[in-house]
Amino acid sequence: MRYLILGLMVVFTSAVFGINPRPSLNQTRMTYGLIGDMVFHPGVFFRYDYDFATFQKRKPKEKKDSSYNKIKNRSFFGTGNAGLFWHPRTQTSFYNTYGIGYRKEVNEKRYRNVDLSFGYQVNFLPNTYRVAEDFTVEETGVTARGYGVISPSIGYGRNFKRSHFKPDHGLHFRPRIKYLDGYSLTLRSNLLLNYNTTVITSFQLELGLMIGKRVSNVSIDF
Amino acid sequence: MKKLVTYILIIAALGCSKEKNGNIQETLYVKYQGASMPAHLHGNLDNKTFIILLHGGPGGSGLEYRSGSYIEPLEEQFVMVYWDQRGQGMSQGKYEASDMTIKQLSDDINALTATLRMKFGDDISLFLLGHSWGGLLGSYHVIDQDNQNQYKGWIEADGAHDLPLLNTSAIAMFKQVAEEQINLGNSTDKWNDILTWANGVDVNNITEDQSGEINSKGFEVEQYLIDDGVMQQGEGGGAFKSLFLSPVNPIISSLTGNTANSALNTEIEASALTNQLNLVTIPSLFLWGKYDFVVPPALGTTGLANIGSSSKEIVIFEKSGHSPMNNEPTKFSQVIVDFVNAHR
Repeated sequence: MRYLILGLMVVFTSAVFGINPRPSLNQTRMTYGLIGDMVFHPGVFFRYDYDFATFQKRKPKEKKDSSYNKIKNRSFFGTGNAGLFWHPRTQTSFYNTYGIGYRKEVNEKRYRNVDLSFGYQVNFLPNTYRVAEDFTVEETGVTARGYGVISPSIGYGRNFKRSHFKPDHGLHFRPRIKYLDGYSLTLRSNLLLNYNTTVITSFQLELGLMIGKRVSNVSIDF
Repeated sequence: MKKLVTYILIIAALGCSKEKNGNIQETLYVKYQGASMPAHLHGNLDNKTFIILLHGGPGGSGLEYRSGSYIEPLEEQFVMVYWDQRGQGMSQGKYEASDMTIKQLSDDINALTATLRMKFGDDISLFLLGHSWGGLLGSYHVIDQDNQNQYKGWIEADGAHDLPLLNTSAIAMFKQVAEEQINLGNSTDKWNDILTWANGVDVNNITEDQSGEINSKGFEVEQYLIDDGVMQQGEGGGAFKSLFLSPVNPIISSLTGNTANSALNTEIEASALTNQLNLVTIPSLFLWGKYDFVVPPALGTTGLANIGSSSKEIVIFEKSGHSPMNNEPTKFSQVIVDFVNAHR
């Protein structure tokens, strides 16, 4: 299973670079990483945020002799999310949502954000047998159940400092790490509409690594 | 997109089944009338004997019952089928709230048995084991002649097949046991409170709210009896497993189960099947905890008296409450193994 997760991470990494190969994406941030529908129901996700309105708030630094001002950004952004999680013997789920969010920087490194997305989730159910009204049975293999999704989330993120990375002294995969901008931790609630006879929610924890703001001067060959 | 589909199919294939030397560990889904309901099969295929476990609640899940040592002897010889009923556990789909009826859930069991016969052959032996609410559902199911003919035997463990009788019996039992325990000097303050509460209930007019109260106090007094050494402490450890290792998402299971419970509650409260048990003629086994206040043993004894089977038996577990499989697991599994081997 470990190799399967790693394999999916690689695929998603490829997808990340493939989706948006344009340089200079200062208004975007892309995040990919691991999700857990439950602690041991692992999965992967990809998230794409686009800031469409940013407001700056400047605060003079407390020391009188300093000319440095604190700048705090507050942004409204559009967001797209895709996630895949599974359990070895039961269901594999894929969700895709789009929405808007608000991000507030706590300081230069940290920020918090909330968003509200809408989309769908498809649950793939293996080993299914379809039973007709007259109780005749047909083996159908994998079937799918789809649900509309309303997905609010609340997250915390931390931006890395550029100087943390030393690409010249890295392992094979080390150079890739230099493109990371930070990490994020998000709690997401996927409200599944018309699930059985009601609306239910599943909670997911997303642990993400962010890329995107500084991809302009790097090679994107994989 | 091709990559994504390929990976999903690989994952799905990995998840299907594992059969080796007669052992089976498999999850299959039964898709029937708007619902996709998982059945988790664990055990030994050699005897071609399947025990379908109907969980309690409504609002429980099949795999809640796959914890504790009682399952080991059962899975050693038979295939245990842990079934998530419609609208409960990880069952999912889309249908109307009006579809949540006991009749529909009974038909769902037929969909499951048809699937098992299609997959494993018509020569398999099927037994039905219902606990608590599962006992009511199972009783309703086997009262129908066509349904009961599918099974070699019916096992009811603390089954709630008659709610009006359950409520009146429970109040009488609260009073009786409270007096006994007070006389013995066990947890006297707590039992005095129970006695005062029970004396205040009008048994000729028990409301749905009071019925819920009987249920919660039933579990409460079990703890008093365990603390005083009257009942055997139940086996623990299931919660951790179900939270972290089980495919059942406890939040989803709880939310959807509560909805199912609400949808079925009125019909359940009105269910009184004791007078129809004479229609059941297959071998039947009643298993009851002596200190089950949630579903009192009076339902077991009246069930035994009324059931139409020529082969019938009741086993009372002297140190158990509502879940004798947890309080006295060894004895619980042994009587089931003996019963199934005698009739399969």
